Amino acid sequence: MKPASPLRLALLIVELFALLAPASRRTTWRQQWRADLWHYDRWLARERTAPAAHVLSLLARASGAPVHAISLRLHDWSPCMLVHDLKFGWRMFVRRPAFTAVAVMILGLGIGANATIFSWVESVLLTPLSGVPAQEGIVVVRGVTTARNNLSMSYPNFVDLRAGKPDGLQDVMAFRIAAMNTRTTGEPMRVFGELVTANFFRVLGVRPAAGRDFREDEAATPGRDPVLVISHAFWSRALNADPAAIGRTITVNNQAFTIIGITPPEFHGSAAGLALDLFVPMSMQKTIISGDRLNQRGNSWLQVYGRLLPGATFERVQAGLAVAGKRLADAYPEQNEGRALAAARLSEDGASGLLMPVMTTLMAVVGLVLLIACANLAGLLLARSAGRQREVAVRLAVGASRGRLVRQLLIENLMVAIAGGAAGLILARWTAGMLTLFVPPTPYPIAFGASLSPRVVGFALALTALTAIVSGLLPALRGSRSDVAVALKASAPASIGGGRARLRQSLVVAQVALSLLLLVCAALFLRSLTHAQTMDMGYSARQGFVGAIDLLAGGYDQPRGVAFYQQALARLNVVPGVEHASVATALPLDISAGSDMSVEVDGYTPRKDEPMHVYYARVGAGYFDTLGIDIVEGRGITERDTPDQPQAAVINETMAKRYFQGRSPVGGRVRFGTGPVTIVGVARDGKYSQLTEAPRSYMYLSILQSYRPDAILVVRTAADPGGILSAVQRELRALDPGLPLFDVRTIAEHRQISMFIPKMASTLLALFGALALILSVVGLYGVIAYNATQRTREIGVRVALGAERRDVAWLILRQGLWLTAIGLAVGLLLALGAGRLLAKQLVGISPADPVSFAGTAILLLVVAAAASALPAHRAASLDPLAALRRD
Amino acid sequence: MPKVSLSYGSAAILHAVASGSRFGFDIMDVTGLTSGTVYPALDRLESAGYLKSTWEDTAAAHAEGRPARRYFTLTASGATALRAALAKYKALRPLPGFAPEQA
Repeated sequence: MKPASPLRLALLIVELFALLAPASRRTTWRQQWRADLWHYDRWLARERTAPAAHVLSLLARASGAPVHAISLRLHDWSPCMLVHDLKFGWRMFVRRPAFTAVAVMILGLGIGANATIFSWVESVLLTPLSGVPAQEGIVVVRGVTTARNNLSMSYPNFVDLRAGKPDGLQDVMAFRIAAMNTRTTGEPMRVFGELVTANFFRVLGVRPAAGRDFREDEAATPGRDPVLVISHAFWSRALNADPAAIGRTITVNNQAFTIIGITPPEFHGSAAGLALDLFVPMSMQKTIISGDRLNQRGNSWLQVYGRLLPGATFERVQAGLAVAGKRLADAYPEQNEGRALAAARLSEDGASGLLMPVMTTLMAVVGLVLLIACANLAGLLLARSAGRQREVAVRLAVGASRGRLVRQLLIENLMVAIAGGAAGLILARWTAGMLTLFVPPTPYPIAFGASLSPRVVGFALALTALTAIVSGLLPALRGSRSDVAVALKASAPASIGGGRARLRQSLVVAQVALSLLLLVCAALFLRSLTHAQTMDMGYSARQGFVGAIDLLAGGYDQPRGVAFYQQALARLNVVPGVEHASVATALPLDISAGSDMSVEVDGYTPRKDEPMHVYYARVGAGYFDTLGIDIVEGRGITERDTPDQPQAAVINETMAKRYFQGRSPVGGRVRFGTGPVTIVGVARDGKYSQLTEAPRSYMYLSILQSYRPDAILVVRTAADPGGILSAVQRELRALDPGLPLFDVRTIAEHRQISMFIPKMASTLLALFGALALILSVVGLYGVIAYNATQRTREIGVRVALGAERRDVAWLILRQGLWLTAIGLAVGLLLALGAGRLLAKQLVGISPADPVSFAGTAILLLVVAAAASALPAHRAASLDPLAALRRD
Repeated sequence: MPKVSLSYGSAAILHAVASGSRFGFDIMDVTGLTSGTVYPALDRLESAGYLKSTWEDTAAAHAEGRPARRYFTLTASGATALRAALAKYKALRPLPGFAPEQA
């Protein structure tokens, strides 16, 4: 199935609404819109807009077409007629309150679902950085090699990049997110903040709400200026909104810092989805992150953002960065060889990039829900227009034009839609915040500020207009086409409206097909989630807890840190209830993907341009026993792997297979920058970053030999970890009373982190699938029940002539089953196509999973049969005499 | 001088046309207004006599591999209206030749 190009989709909207434009100006209108969308599509492509944003922007652009067409119509429309139509519409409303209520509810659900998901898309993809103006002008600058496209940058490289003024960019800034240990008055707190260059706030375009931001010289001399800017949230939370906060001193990682500014409340830092609290200038690096990084060109650890020059295109920046990257590679080949620079969109970065697939899926899904709602409403309107035959005929007979009638009917529908849109916005007002409900417990301060921004409200209004027209146009055109002579005859309801009945039936078929599509997707995601929950993640530990320790913040240097790790593990392993305890710099399936590096393996000659990077973690003694990762060959990392011993490494099966091809890797050597490490064992494969990832090479180093001061303590317990936690904390305090254990969560909670996206997708899809099912079944019931009443007299004749009640019931039921069957057939084909698009997001099941397909088809069939059985039963129990007497 | 009163959006559009953005796409680009605002406004301004539109030669456009554009130009009364609008909306950048008339 070839996906429709975004442009074609947008042009389809134009064609769809061409009828709205007055005939005399339709050609000009169409040409103008075709040209505009063509140019816009080209422009978006040139700007390398992310696919989801490309489609959305183009559709948003195309949504102007119906507005334009209506405005042209209104032009030749006198206001008093409009007022008359509105009044008439209102009267029709009030006369049929049940109809109006149902219609408003259907549209409210449809529009509410769309506004909700759009508010999420907006906060995650379109404006990922809260409180940052003109974000479309911010680009992410990344290092690129043949294997990777999202490398960070070293500080010296950043300084040269900035001094070289890459073409197309006003300026570039760099930052690094870091956990910090802070003390204001009472207990020490762990907060997350950023180490930033002095121009950080200026490039983002954020001005402090109070105080000032950094001066250029404050980030120049290492260690000289202990100043910081704090977030509004930190100011109110930790400083009790102290009005004299500027100039006050707080302790960060045991050093006194002076507060010079407070950010505006809506600003949460430069990482999408995170709420960061402290902003420290780059010159204070050593206090915040281990090592002396400002002078090491080979140490890449910074994220870089740039701000576009006004009017500069994405293309131009891309070219400018290519030149700048080349210059760096030429000047410092040793560190920068084979490394280029490239620009990326904010929406492709970090949490946004992670959530992009699921958000795109959800947006498509709610679009389908709205389509079903429209088809449903169109069905209702058609049924109602049948009841208004005579009214329409009378109006035509006394000289109303058909255009006038279409307009009248559309206005009525627009009024319903506006009420529905308002209901939808009210719904979305409290569902928008529900995104945070899906966020798992992580050590990071996750904050998605989804809310009803003006853009979301605008989107909902555009949808309202769109639904009014989509659901109303066909019924209005049908409804206004009435044969005056026939309709005015008193008794002809059953003889007319054959075309209308067919139209209603097609609408039901469409609803069933789309519902099946949604239900299959929901089933696929649910099955995928079940699979994920029982799947082998590569480690077996289920009970226990993890927590972070930060020795740098605690004032430890390397020798003292190594001693601390040794003593802590020795003490914790004998605490009653603890089965095993260890430390690691990264846990499998944590929210951050972990680090990777490029390696050389002795005895393995890489092909030209073969990517040689492996992911790695530094672990303490007993790590494999603690997490329950099997060692399949050799040994794990032990307490004997100390700094004075040869460097040891454990690799996983994938890495062993790839680089040792059948030979035993134990005793083999791996090199990366520094001296060689010797492989002492092979560990079983697992999942490291995402459940959907392909097997990847992974390496474990000894944290004592390859020291890092920040680590995660992992404790595996035999029983409920609750009581043991306090014993563990007591032991740690006995070693160092000033070193807290942060971000404690149970292993069970940790296991849920990787379930975040599958859980969110399946919950929401199930919800929307259920909504679609209800709507389409109500639609089906409406059609079958209506047809049954239309055939009352026929049924009377049949019964009078000796038909069994069973035959009568089957007559009605058959029609419902028939429509459902056609809908299911169409829906199955659609779902097979959609499944392929979703394949990458599914864990452990095929996108054509027979259980999901058969299960949902049967569910729909059963529910549809039940919906048709009701009118069938009613028809079968008709009194033939009464039926015949009816006109 | 006839008394004309333009909305800010319409004034921004006339301003854009006068500064050389001559078709819808460009006008949206420089004004930041949405498609649903700009196109209806262009038609309104044309029927009010402030703008005049012409289609560029289709053959020429196709030779360049793109659809033909509808070009807009300011009429005399459009210039008058814009001058009045510039005097009223100080946020719009002054344009040479459209200085507000001295009181």
